[in-house]
Amino acid sequence: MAKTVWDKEPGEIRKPGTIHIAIMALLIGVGAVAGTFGSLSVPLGYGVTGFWPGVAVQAVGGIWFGMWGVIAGFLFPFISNSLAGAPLYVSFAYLPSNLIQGLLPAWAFRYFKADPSLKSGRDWILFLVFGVIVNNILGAAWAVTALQWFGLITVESVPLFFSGWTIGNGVPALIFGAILLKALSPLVVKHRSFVKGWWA
Amino acid sequence: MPTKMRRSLLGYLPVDSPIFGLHPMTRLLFLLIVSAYPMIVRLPELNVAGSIFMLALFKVSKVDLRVIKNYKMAFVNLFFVIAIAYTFFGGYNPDYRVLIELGPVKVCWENLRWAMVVYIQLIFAILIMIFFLSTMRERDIVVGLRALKVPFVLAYMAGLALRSIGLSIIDFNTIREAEKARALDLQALPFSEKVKKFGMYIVPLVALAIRRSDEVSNALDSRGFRFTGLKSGKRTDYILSKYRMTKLDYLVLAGMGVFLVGIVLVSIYTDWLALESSLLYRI
Repeated sequence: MAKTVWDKEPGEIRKPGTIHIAIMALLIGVGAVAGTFGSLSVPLGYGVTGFWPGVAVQAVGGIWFGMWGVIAGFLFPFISNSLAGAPLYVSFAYLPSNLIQGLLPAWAFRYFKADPSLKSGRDWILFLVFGVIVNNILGAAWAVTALQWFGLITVESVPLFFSGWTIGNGVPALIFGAILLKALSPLVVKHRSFVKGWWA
Repeated sequence: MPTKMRRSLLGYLPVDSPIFGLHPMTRLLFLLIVSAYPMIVRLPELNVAGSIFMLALFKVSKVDLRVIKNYKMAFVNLFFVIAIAYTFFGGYNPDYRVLIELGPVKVCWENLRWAMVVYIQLIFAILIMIFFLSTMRERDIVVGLRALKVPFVLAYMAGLALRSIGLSIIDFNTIREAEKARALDLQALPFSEKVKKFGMYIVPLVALAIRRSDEVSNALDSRGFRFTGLKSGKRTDYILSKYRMTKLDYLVLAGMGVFLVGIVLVSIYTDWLALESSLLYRI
């Protein structure tokens, strides 16, 4: 089987280090800026937005930086939602959604050994399925469940918020996620912050 | 003589603001505890009182009320979203009182009432968040976390993350300025074009973050930082030593705690805070 970017070199030892703390913190910064832009541009209410570019940082962060990217991906929406005016506990309620949106593509790319540079049709399909569609559907399902649990939306309005979340996240995940992966993956996989496993 | 100001997460605050008399931990706990009030209590009268209390707190703390105006669109938008979600997607029960019929859609008083309850509840919750962001600095959050005995690595990461937001905003503005210098007028572009242009922001933003991660990592290594997981051991915290909990802090914390326990108990054992006690439910 051909060597992939996920395979370790013979004798290679990988450990979490300060570079991972740094990249996680900086991803939170980038994600918060990208997330706030989206939340302020087409808000649907409760931090749900019709166009949220932050999701691209979640998916791509998880793929490149493993759990560090996933953690950054579930923390920065907390900040961007707060800056956009979402109440604290609504932001808390979204944490699992934001976790799954970064975790699923991170798992899929590692498990199926897909290339983050999206070189083949298989890589594209995996990205589309796990980084654009399934992760956002699961994220939306949790988010609307949480909103309904808080009594903030009615059962009848669930489809409105569910579709708002899924489309509002899916489209930017596809556009910006693909742009980021194609443009920066060749650079990132050679960088010491790149995570082949889950933590290093 | 101009008033000396301190930068907060959302703007500037006079250095003589009484809010600085409170320990950062108290202010951090204020967000966590007071944010729970509107989540527990739905009674609109109490949430209106809470909103008025928050506005008074803005005034007492000398927060520029124009900061709330920045959220004007968010409030208006939220109003429309809630109104639409509850009136058009609010469901129908034969017991409901129909106010207007718009084709197949029946706008009922019960749905509209529920929309008002939720909106008032959210206004209070959002004002709490705006107040927090207007009165806290990056440093205050880190000090608050350290005072709460959060592991050093987490508090440090929180500080670094907050700082990196500022850095990303600077990078974002630099990229925008560069685009303006090339005669790109973003304001004049339709939304679809703005979306396309956003791709031009996000790639350099992430690229700059990756490059900066090397600098930050080298700085951490050169200062002898080690990634030791959540175990931090005993460590002297210089900034924390600059703050002291005062009687006022304990008083505020006790007040918030007692009020929280009070509304939880009253909600459980009486129906005083039930929605049915509201004036809206007597109409």
